[in-house]
Amino acid sequence: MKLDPLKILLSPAAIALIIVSASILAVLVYESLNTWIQDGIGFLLRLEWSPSEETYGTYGMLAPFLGSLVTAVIAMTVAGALSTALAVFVNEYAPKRFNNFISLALFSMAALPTIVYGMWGLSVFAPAVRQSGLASLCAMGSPTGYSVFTAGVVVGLMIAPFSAAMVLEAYRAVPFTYVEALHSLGAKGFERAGVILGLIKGSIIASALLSFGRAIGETTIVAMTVGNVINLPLCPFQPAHTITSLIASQFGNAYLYPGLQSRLLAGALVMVIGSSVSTSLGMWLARVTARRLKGESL
Amino acid sequence: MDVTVKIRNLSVWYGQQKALETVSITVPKGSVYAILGPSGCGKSTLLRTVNKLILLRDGAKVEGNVEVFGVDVYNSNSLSDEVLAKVGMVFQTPNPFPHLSIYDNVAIGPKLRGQAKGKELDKLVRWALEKSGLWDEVKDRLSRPASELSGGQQQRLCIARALAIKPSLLLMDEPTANLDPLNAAKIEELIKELSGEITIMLVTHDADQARRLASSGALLFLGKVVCEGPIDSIINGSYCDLLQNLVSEHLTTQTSKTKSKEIKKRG
Ligand SMILES: Nc1ncnc2c1ncn2[C@@H]1O[C@H](COP(=O)(O)OP(=O)(O)OP(=O)(O)O)[C@@H](O)[C@H]1O
Ligand SMILES: [Mg+2]
Repeated sequence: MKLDPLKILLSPAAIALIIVSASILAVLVYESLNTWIQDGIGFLLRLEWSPSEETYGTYGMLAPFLGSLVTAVIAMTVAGALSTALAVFVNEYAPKRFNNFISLALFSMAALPTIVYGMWGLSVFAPAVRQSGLASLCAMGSPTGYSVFTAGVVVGLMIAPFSAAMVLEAYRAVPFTYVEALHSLGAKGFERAGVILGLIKGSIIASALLSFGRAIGETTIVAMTVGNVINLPLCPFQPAHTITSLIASQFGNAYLYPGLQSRLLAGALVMVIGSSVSTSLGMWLARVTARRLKGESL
Repeated sequence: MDVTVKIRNLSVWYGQQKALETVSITVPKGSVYAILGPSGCGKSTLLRTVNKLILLRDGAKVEGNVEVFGVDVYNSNSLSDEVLAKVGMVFQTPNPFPHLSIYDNVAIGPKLRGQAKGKELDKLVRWALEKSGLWDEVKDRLSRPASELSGGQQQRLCIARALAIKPSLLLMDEPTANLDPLNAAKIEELIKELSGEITIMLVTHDADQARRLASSGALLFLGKVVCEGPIDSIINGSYCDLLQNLVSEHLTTQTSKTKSKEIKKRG
């Protein structure tokens, strides 16, 4: 085997990455071991939340767990809808010179720190939700505008540039021969887009999975806009918690409550696993789809 | 003589590169018109100017006159859509939509145009598949994805897709180029059958195929029409023999050039 200098240079970086992620997992597992041994996944299925400083309290995380899922699904939907709409608009309607401008806008949106989105959610979107009166649709609607819906939408906006880049790329990569075939059949604009979206369905689902993976771990924005109440998210305009927002708000003082730290870290582990599974699935699907489209165009 | 397509002084550029130069041809109605010529001479480009697909290419520029069914398609947008709705196209490489079923691939044209629905659409799809000789092979798996068909079947599916819009003019770009002799023969048979009913512009670089199918045609070389007329005059005529010799000479000098380059490289 030849010694490739680039390989020697890069291997430590790759190894370091693997070691760091492995150690993160190891720490999460180790610190939450108590929970897994005593309770298994019971804490994820339990609703009761009664903290205690003296004895082991009950820390059921069903509500924040569902909060995480619902928020992530809303975010994924928002990001998916926006990026699909953008891909159709850019490719079917916008003049070509618009492309650079849109790339630039996407880049800058992707580069914004999440705290900026959080602040926007706090000062613009949440008040808008409050004034819209949507909360009255829920039995326990949020009087403040902070809700699962608010958090989901803002997280969705934060993720949208990434998923838009992916869907745009897939749309552009559709073999030209299909575009020509559609034109020869008289399909334009919306009709053409419909068929092309069908062709890249795999990529759209892949980007949704990646969005979900990203959204479920998002903390800053959610902690700022979700309302931070332990509440089953039965209605989207209710305030609630997600596992990440719960950790953000509780972890600082968790050492005062026996057992809480372990529960929170177990929750974090569940989020990490969910996020990695969703992300890996998404990446796999994106690869398969791209390969299939290329292969089938001959 | 009734004329389906009349092209006058047509020049086409891809960016700076000229692909067609002052091309003029006349395609008579209800016949097979062959477009012949060596690879890269502009056959596909010429076909794509007839139904304006050429405008989809970045930087493509078209100059001159293209009349389809008497309508100048580059200068009367409202009428051109109407006219081009009667033009179908079959491509050099089979390109059925891989995510759609066999049925939907054929139905897509009429569906998009709102030409047929329900039972009527079923009938139309069956008619197109029968016409393209595919019905017996696929009638039991109409809902399977088109990507499961063989290359030859895919090309016949594409022909069915084009026929389903009931075209009066069918553009075919080397429809048998990538097929085995059996599938190629089936498609030739189909072209013969269709030729009585509609006009077909057939791109091919196979002189024998042109002689078998076409009644007239044009020979292109380096973006120019070197001769046009009845098919026999193109393939056997003395003037064209000369030009064909020119073509083959041009090709042999090119190959001998590359060969001598190869020899130099090896030496
Ligand atoms: N999209 C494009 N951009 C730039 N040049 C192009 C493009 N498409 C074709 N050309 C050029 O235009 C010329 C004519 O191409 P065309 O595809 O019409 O040839 P053809 O006669 O159909 O060849 P073949 O028999 O190989 O299919 C060629 O020199 C080709 O390189
Ligand atoms: Mg060609």
